[in-house]
Amino acid sequence: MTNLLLQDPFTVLKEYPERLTQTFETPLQTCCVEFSHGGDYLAMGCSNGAVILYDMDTAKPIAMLGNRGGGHVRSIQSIAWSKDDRYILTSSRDWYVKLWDLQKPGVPARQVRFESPVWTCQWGGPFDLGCIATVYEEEYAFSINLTPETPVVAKICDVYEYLGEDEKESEENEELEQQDFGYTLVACVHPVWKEILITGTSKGWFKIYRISDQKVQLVHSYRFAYSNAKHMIISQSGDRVAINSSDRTIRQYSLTANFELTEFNFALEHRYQDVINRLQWNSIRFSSNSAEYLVASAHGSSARDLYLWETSTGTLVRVLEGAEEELMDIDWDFNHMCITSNGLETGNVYVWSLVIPPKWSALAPDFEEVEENIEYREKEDEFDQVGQFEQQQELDQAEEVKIDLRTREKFDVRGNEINFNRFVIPLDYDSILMLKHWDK
Amino acid sequence: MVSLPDWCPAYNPQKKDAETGEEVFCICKKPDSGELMVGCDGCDDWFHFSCLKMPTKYNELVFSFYCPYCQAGVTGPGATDGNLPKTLWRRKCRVSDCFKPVAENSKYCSEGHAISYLRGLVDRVEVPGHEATPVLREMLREPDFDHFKGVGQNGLPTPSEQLAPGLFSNDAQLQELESQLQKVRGGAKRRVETQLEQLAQYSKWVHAVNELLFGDGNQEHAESTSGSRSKASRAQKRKKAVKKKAICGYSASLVVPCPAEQFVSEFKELEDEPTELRGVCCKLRCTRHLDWAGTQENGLQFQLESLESSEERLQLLVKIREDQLKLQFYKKLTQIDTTSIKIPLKNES
Repeated sequence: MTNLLLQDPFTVLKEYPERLTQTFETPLQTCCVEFSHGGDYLAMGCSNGAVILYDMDTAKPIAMLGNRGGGHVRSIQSIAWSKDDRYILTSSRDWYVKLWDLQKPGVPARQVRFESPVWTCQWGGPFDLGCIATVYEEEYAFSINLTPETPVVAKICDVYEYLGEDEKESEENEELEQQDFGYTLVACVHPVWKEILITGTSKGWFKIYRISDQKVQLVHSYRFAYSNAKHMIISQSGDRVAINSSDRTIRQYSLTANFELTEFNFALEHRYQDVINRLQWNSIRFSSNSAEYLVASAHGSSARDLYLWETSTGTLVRVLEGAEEELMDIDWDFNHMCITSNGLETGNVYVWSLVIPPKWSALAPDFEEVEENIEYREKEDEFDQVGQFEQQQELDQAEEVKIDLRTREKFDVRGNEINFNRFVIPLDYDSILMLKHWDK
Repeated sequence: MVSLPDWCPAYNPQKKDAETGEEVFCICKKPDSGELMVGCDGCDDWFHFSCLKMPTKYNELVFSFYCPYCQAGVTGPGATDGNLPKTLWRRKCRVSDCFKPVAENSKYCSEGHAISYLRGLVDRVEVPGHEATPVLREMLREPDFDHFKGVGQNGLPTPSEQLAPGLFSNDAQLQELESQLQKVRGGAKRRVETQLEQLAQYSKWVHAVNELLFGDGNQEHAESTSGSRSKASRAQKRKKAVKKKAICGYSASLVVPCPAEQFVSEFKELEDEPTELRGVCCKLRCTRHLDWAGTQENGLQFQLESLESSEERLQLLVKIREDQLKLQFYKKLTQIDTTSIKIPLKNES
């Protein structure tokens, strides 16, 4: 990675990508994309169930999940990288959720089969190695404990919700029972309050659960619309929530809670709609930290761009152009400041990022850039011997300052956390050997 | 245009010594003194070996010679059509101090030199701790000449057990690969195959149930698909079956709960259409389990394919590893070899 400190600060600190810089033409139809947390790898889930990992430096595929057996056989619905980028969770329409250890990407480390296609799967829940999945036509989300060899699956629902018909009669729960929330379609673990899970349902409800080791508590529910929840995202800082629903609207809420996390409040900030064409939105994504920007892809063959809004004012600030087709899933890599999205028709993957012009003067303060060769004229006192002693002293002093080369910086210039150990996918020597020997 | 070499003076068309009237040759423009010369095929002039910095022992190796001027295009054919000629040489005999050209279809000038060259090679072989000749013989234990020609094409020959005890059986990586291969060849493949069979059986049962339940409407396509059972026709059938009336038929266990007739009668006894009977999903248009049979079949087939390919892969990896081990073994042998040769040489000097 280039040293961002040496680049033009006005370009480096731009808050969103500007130009289409790369197109991956994959032989498979990509239907979902996800960057690793470090941004070194891009996972592409394909419609035939393959998941291919691309190295972003070389723009070449380096691993395929399940190429030694046990891969998905229907289109991939979601991909999630673990915090250290070593594990990947995939969910697919073939009813499976699979966990992959990139130390051995050939076979799944764990897998769970549900009774119907899986919508999404995300890290989180009450277990050390656990995840939350939402499944087709299921009323509740599932929590999966992936630590044991055969993962344990449990429904996430409040005791009151779970009571039988008779018990629901009791007055206390009458109100709750009357409410039909519909099927749970999306679920997000809150990035700051880890025990809080927010789900979105097919009848337009937010439900907030508080999950502890022993019990699950439904702490809040809020109706945002009268239609399906398609996507839900929470900002890294945790105070902004956006939900994309099938009524062609993206709603952006600010989420607040009291200190004990017992009361929550959703305050509608903005509604994003395409007022002219009335298009649905395919996918949405927040920018980093406090989510100052929101990017979305629009449904329909006439839409070929990504739309980027400023979340505080709700104004459209940029349209990312360049793709020649409808765009589906989106992911945003904050480390390298690039946005990727996959095309519907060709299955190609597009990447927009910043183009930083080389700036040589950043390498040394007295370095000057010239348009064409000029004859150098020596300044009057440039090579004078006087004052050399003082100069030398100054230099010596500068050298005496200890430079710390070993402590890692915590944040990069854009404010992203970089001080964590990123997993490096091991080289697959076997495959290289085999390629060399295949003909013999 | 190729320039003349540094040592070659510029072209001089002089043919006779101005003073003596003697014919002069070569780049040195001197008369013939009986020194070895070579005739240029381009300009018909003669040149001294020594003047052209060519060792005289290459005498017999010249195939067609062109002087520096012809090669540079000053004279000869290159001057007119621009195609610069080059001196061509014959291949030299492999015996290092023999400068005769090779015989036809050979790397040697004569049979005698071929034998002496190979004998020299065999004499240099030294295997510490072993007599050299038997080791060589073992490496070359080929029944006839055709096999002998193939030596090296099938990788390295395997050293015998006495020569390298436990070369393969002591290598953990190779053993690991072998055991994986055993696993694939043993249970894994059969298990998937039985699962596939079970799935096919169950699908057949569901089909039979549907036939009995809604037989009248479905008869047409039942006839058309009964013959072939290819994947495509099955997919078609499924499509048709969805269009016609049919129950979903998904069950988690994939075990036939009871004969089709019994199931149907039980199904018909229930008044309002049940959604589930004996663990079997009975919804008419079930979006939830849509394409369950196809998905599972694909999954199992994929597993079977990947098992087959991993069998192939493991076989290849085993072979690669064996080659590696052999190579390491031979390398180690020769390394000891060279050091043990050097020491007596030093003592002699």
